[in-house]
Amino acid sequence: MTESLIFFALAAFILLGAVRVVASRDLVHAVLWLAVVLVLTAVMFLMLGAPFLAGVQLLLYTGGVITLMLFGVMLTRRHHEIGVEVDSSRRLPGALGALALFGAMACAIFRTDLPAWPSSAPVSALEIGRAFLTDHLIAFEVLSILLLAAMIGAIVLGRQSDFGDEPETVYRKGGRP
Amino acid sequence: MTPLMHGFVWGLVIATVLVTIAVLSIWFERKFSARMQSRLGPTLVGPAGILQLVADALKMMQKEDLIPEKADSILFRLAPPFTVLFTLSVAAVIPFSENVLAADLDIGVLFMLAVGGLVVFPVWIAGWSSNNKYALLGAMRAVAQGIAYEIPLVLSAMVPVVLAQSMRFSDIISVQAETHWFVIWPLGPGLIAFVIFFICSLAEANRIPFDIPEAESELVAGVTTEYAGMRFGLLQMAEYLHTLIASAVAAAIFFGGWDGPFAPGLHWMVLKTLALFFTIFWIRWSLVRFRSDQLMALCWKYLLPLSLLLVMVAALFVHYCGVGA
Amino acid sequence: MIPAPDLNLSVLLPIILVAIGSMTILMGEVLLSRADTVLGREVTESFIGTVLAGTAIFFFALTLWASGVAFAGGGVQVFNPDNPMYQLDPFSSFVTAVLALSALLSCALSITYLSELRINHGEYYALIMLSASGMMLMVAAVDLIAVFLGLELMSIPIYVLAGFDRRKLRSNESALKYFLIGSFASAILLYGMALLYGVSGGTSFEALRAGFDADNPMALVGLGLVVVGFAFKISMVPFHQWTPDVYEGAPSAVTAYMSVTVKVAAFATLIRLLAMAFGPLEASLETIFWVLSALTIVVGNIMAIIQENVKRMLAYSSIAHAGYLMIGLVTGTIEGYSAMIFYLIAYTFMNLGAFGVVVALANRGNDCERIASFAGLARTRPGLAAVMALFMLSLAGIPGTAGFMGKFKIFMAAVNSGDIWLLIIGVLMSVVSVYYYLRIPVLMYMREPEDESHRTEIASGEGAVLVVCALAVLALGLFPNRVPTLLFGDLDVLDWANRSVGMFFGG
Repeated sequence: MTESLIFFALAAFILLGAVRVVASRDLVHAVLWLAVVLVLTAVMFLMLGAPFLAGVQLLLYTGGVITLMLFGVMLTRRHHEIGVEVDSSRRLPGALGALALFGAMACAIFRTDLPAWPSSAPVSALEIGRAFLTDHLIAFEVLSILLLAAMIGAIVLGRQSDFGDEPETVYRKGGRP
Repeated sequence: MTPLMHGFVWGLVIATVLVTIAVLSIWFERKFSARMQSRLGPTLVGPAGILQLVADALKMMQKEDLIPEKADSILFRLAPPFTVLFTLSVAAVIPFSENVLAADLDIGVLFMLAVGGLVVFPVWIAGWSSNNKYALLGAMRAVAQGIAYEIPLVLSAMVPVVLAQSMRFSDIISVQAETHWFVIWPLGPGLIAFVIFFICSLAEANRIPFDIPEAESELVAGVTTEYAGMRFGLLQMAEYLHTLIASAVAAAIFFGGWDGPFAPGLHWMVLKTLALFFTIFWIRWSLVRFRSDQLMALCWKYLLPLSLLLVMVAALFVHYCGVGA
Repeated sequence: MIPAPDLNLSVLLPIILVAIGSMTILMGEVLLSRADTVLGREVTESFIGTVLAGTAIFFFALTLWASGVAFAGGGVQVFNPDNPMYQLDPFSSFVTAVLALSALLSCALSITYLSELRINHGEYYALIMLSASGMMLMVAAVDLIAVFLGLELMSIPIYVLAGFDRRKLRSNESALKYFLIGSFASAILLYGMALLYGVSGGTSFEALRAGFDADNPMALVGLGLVVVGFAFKISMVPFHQWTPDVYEGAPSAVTAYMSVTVKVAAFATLIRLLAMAFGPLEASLETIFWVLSALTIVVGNIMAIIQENVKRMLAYSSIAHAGYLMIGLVTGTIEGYSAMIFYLIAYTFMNLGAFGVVVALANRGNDCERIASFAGLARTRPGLAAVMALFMLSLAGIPGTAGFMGKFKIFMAAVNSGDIWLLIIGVLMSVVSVYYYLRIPVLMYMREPEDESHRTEIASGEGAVLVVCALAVLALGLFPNRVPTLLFGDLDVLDWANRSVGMFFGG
């Protein structure tokens, strides 16, 4: 009883936060609401018996991703007074579409007898680590290649100098001119 | 008493004691720094000036509660209490003795790192919501510093975790009690990991020589520029709390926590914590501030590779010598 | 101590080769750019670019060989018996070979084009290789997690490649659009996977097959969301809007690569997913596929008519081809799947060729994208005009070309499984497509040249690619079951396509 009460309260706050993320006019507010959503999601993981996942969620998403987003906001134009235009002329169709999708999803979920998977015991960090090094080893490795690709991509797109339109130059020692 | 109530009560007690120590340390620091600079420090209010604290607190409370007109007033108000809240939450998982602990989580160290990492947000919010360029510059430095030092901090905290094969604080301490404190053995990696952990904690707490976000000589008072009264007081207190709790964590995972002869465990833990806390004051009044780029170079070029290496060394140590060898 | 899992690394050999190649290129560029001369040659930008492209081509050739050997060997091997995430089987090795070949051709096509734009960096080839490794992982995946990882590894480098010409606004727009739509699609896909996991309690295709119940609404929604996620990647109507903008804005060489390989990988994964995890399609889903297929064919072809830009026209044509390919999915028979595989090969050569001509005409900063700029090309560049006409005929599905043979196989499969209406729509729209495809040959051969801004000489890499594509289009169109090669004897591509999908039907 208490558990479901906590769950619904959490879910309500997560939804509220998520709506604020897309509806905030202020970019920084949106990012901070996202942080709220992520923290509450971590709490949700905790309730589901995945404390390790909750910790990682806090550490990586809130501690890492949101911080990077704040950096992004800081490095671009300041939107404090300007406010982002979030209005759209297609509000109504958008809302209808979202509602329809929500209805379909809710219908599907409520009409399904979900099987109860026996996994109520909290998953320890040890088990997760073991799974990473045995069953999911390859996924783990592929993930690192994926991160490498993302890193190269970020460097390519963020690089300061390009070859430009000057005539072809000979490379000097120590890299590109 | 249910475990939840037990944790709640002890959490309150621990939080109260920590806040008290943090407040007292302000007086202590003033006296201490005065000694280092051949001054007397506070003398007038009470014996040895100890009531100066009360006077300061009264002054802060009486000050006008200023919120700049162009500031983001909600965020501006929220930032200081959240700074204290996140900082204090870390203390929940630190065991001060076998019994004096609020929550002995399975993922203790991870929780400590994750929640400790959140502190950078309220600090950033404080700087951003002030709508002041000095505060914003300070906030940006705080975030840059926070995210950079988070990585070696996590990795160096992983060394005791790997050595003890557990993320639970009490397990880490009991492994040390059975064998050696990690700062002593394995010789080398433990000590270096401790030094890195300590440096990174200082950086996370924005203490000298890493107080670049405040840098009063360049940025007025950095993120705290626009704050006055009790809000300023809270931000300051969070800094002291952060260093105090970081000392407690270091004492637990590197210095064997409550392990020690003769006296009860609690005494040892408090003693170790205060000794480390004292060291931080010592460092603060001995060193000068780094430049921002020096700080980044130190982190990315030296601490990060070194701490990665240490984790590997620790893993090899456990592999070849076994846990707690 | 954690026991070492019993891994079978040879399963991933083709992918490992590609990944090693990408890292070799990254390191190679660093080392080369620090040297003044290598083997007595002055180290210039274009020299580095050519060497790195050569490295990429070499590694793709190795991959092609490795997967070809695996295909010839047949049999099914899993990577890790405890948790078979990847599987080496005739299907995966055959599709991997196709992917390696088209990536190889794209690299050869890119060298001069990138040099002209002065963006011939090593990262380009590294990103191509990384995305190719993602595609290969995706087609070898027998687990939802593996599918998702492969999909992301495929997509992220391509987002970047689309914006590789950073100075051009259109290129940036293209990258941003593709990235936003792509991450949206990934989120939908992931949601669908989560629902499927919730229903079946496992992420492997085996577990899905055991736990999937077509009467279960949540399972259906999950499957639907997964299909939608892929629909974005293969630009199925109504999830196609990004395609023309992205294809137009991206550098032409990148468009050539992505238009071909992404489609091959995504369709192959869909085939495997539907065949291995969901068995014969549920009737209601078949109807949905039917509708989407018809819509994709109609919208793609109609919209292509009004385009004035070659790249946009080819983008809509690729949407239309996705529609034809989906007919194979609707049939759900071995015939349909093998027709899809054959069609994908044919599409690879003809589309790569068509974009190859656009690339070969591009003159530094002037992409010659207007259809009108093809006027009189037969007089100024007779060779290019001839191959372009061939590719256009093939895309339109004129007999004697690969495109015809592909369409013929697909339509035959539709007839045999009783989808007469789909056949009628397909044939009618093919007739419509002749109009816009033949506009280019008509302009090239029957008008006076007006645009003189084309590049005047063709680079050897581009020439080789165009010749290979043109020969392949002709050979696959004329004798698909005995493609003559000088080195390897006659190749029976139709039989290969059959063998590759045969494993899903116990063959």
